[in-house]
Amino acid sequence: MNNDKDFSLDDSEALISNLKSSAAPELERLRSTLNLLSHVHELSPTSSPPVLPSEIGQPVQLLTRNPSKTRRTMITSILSVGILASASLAAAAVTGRGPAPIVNAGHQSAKLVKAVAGAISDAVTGGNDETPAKPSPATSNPSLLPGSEDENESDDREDSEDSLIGPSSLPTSGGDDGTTNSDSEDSDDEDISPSVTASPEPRTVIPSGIPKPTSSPEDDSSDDEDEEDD
Amino acid sequence: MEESEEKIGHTKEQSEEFTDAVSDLPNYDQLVEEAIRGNDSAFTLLWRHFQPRMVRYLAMFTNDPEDLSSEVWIKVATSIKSFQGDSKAFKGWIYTIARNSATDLARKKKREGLTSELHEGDWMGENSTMVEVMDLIKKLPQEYAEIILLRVVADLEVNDVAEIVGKTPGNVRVLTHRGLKQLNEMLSRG
Repeated sequence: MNNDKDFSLDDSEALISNLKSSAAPELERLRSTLNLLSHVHELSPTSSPPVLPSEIGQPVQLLTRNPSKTRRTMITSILSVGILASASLAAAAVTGRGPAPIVNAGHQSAKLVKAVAGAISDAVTGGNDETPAKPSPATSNPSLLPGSEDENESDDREDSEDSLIGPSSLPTSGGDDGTTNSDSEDSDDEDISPSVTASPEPRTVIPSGIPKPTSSPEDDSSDDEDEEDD
Repeated sequence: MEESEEKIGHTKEQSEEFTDAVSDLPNYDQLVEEAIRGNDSAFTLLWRHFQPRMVRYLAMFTNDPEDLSSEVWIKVATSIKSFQGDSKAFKGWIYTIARNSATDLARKKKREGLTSELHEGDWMGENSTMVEVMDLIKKLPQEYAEIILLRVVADLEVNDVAEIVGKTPGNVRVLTHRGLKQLNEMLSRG
């Protein structure tokens, strides 16, 4: 094979490193082939990668875009634990039974809820002096509150819980559905009383700078939570 | 054979449509730094540069290289902030991830008794000549084919290829030479 004699290891290296320059005649076809192999089609300027680094730190958003069973289970578990913890604290605050730290924490939570409720009540009524310090269920205005269908139920409970929970305009924390209550509290904190420390929302804090448009994370996340609660 | 030469010649005339793997991406070093810092735009530009090359490399392992490349880029995006190295090492890093992903896929397919054959897909894009060339490459022993693709398509240095495939640089040179010789013989036979 003449090629073997002419085609040394150095020739191979020279060929690889200089695909554009001409090669020996017996290697010209090989050079053309490698040169062709080294050229690729350009992607369109609008094309984008399957995921961007900034999207990696947003589990809720990823859950919305690509909900796998594992992710849904994980998020649901986290939410369930949170709901159970909230319910335990509320029960401890109301009944005064259970381990002392939990009862204390429950009482602290109840105080916080009461303070928030007062702030909400002031915001709704405009700080009206006519608003009683401990309003009766009849004075509450369901039309101003979200989830007004449950008002009667929560008012009934508050007859026995009002010393701890406070104004009846606030949904009780010891209700059947802890998720609904905690959600409405969070949203009230943000919308009406910004001075009260609200729970942080990491997905809204992360700067995006994403070149392609993304859907609103808050809308998506709320939808997901509703689905998972179901 | 003449027909094949004509096709290759025709492709060379149309080379304006292609990007050159040998030439460097403008501001490549800066782009890598920005991407590591979390800049999505820089990451996107790097993806546009590497994606066609990676797909061609992965075509050696699977008949759906685009799908596999998506997995690769998700892994890259997930761990890019923890990447510690310079821009030169970055290129080898992403091809290492690609190779590991391809190896995992091959193991999985072997367990399931599936074989991967090369099919012409969108990723080929260009023309039948590229299909012929890739068919030739696939006919080489995988060891040779992979090293040729990493050196020619991915435009990696000998040392980088050696690190990726777990061989010495000298061994990579020898394997490249053998692969090119075999490819040359296949081209001569037509």
